[in-house]
Amino acid sequence: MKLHKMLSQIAVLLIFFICLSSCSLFDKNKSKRSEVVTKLKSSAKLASVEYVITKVVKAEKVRPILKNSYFFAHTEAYIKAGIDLDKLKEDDVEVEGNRVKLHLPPIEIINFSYPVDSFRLVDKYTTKPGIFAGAFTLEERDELYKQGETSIRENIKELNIVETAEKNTRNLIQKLLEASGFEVYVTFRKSEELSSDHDELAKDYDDKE
Amino acid sequence: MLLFRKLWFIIVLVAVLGIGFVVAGEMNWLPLPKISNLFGKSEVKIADTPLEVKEVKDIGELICAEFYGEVYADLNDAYRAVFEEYKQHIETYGDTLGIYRDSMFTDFPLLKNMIDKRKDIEELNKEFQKKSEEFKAISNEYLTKKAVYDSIRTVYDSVMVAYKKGQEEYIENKRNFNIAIDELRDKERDFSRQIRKLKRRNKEDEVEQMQESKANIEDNIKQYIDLLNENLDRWQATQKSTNEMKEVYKRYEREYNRIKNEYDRKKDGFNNFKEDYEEEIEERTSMDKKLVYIGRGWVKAGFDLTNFEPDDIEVNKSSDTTNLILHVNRPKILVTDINPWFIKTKKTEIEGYEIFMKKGSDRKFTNAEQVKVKSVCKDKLREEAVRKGILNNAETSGEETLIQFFQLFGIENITIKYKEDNNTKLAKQDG
Repeated sequence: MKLHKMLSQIAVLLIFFICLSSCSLFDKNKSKRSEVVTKLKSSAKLASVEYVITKVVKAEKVRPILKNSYFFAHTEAYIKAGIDLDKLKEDDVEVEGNRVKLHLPPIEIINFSYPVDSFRLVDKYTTKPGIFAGAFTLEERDELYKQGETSIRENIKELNIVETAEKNTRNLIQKLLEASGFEVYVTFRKSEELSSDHDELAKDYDDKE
Repeated sequence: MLLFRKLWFIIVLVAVLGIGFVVAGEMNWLPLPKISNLFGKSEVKIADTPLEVKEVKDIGELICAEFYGEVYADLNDAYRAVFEEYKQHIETYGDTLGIYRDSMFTDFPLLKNMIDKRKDIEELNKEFQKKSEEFKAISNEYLTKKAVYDSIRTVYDSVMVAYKKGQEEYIENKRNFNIAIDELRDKERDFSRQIRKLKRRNKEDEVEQMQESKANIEDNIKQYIDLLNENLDRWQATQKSTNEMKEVYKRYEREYNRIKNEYDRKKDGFNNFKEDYEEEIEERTSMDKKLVYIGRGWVKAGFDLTNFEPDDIEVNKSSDTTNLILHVNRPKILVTDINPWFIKTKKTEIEGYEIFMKKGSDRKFTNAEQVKVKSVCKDKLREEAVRKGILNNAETSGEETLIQFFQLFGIENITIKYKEDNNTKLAKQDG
């Protein structure tokens, strides 16, 4: 009888913990689309500037019972900006003799690259794997880099990339057309949003949802 | 007393379970609940660090083709790549790695084992290469014979169709000619009867007329008999050539079947050998841990105009037209990217890198191994893009873009010349 009671108490406790664990299971496995359509498409994007951005990705796991664990990595992002020539319309071009007025499409992010090869883990400030060390798991590291990317993307506007890209695009177009015998005046359409290649890609998938 | 004992038991039980869960949490054996924040298991946020502009580069890249795709790579791929890099270094520069070798072995702990087993594996590889070459030769011979047999078979099939058609024609002609001859013979007999009657009545003029008509009928019969004979000759000739063809075909068929049987036998042998070889390699290079990543990203290709000089454009103006020649380098891969996020919007979240399979404790994986698997994903994505024709697409679409761009300014004839091979593409604007 005693044994029976003991077993039932153990069972109750186990059920309690399993319930708690399953809550976290649902949390961990939030649905992610994993189907990426393979496609090859034509485009006409002229990138005139590349910004190399560095960001330190660091995080701390606070563990009241055990020692805290740390993660520290230097990362680099490469951001290319320019214009989409497919958005250049005939009305944007005025030709009078050898004088050309060009009203170019707004500057946008042509490519955002946050390559894994540029992530340098700083061993000195990162907790090494070990029993009870609490080192960051592979999944946790990936999660930190994802947060790093989101943070960089959210702050691109502050980098003054539009002005530099406009200047460089103007120079490049002038170089091309002046060599062809034209005198060129270049202006840009303005856009409140700094659109990016990512928006265009995301649109395809958002539309499918 | 009983209550005290019970309470004591519950305290011990809870303590044991608690410790168990701490250990399980630490070892990542269980996906622990939020309560385990006590052990640092809750979602960790990165600290708010500033962005620093390291460099601003002036570039001029015209992206003309984009490839989006998904690839897989595992730890075996990563080690193969590292091993190849190591081997190439040794072959090119000799054993000059020095202390770098130790750091390589720390980053890739299984590399040393791979190098130690290199000789064994290379022996196996050599044997496999030899067998592959032998099988390739047999395969080529089989394919050549098959091509010849297929072409003979095509000819044989067409000859057989012609034979059948010829047979039908022969039968049809024979039937029609015989009907015509029978009809003419009836008429001839009829004329003979009438001539005899007219002769009995001494109607000489009419007899003469009738005899002329009868002679015509006899000529017709003769013509039909000639046609009948020609028909037969033709049919016999067809039969003869068909029989010859049949003999040739049978000879080739026998030869083909012999080669095919030999090929099938050797193919089975080679496949068994290949299976054994792969098992052997797998056994010798097997790892006690597994890591497979899915990588989703893009490859972009186009013209690099960064070093574009005014001399790269030639303009020739005549009285009514302007000709422009643009000298550019051939399109190349400009970027290959798999970012942490493939897409992240409010509606859609698709990871750039996603762990598909992980076997072994996290402690067993080094950062370098993780990075290398991801890096191999990128290499595979680039290879896939090239295989899917991104460079050709970039060339076609890039030429179109450049031509359309200059046409906006009224330039009529635009020629694109590639610097390295002087191949030219000419576009003319109508009117």
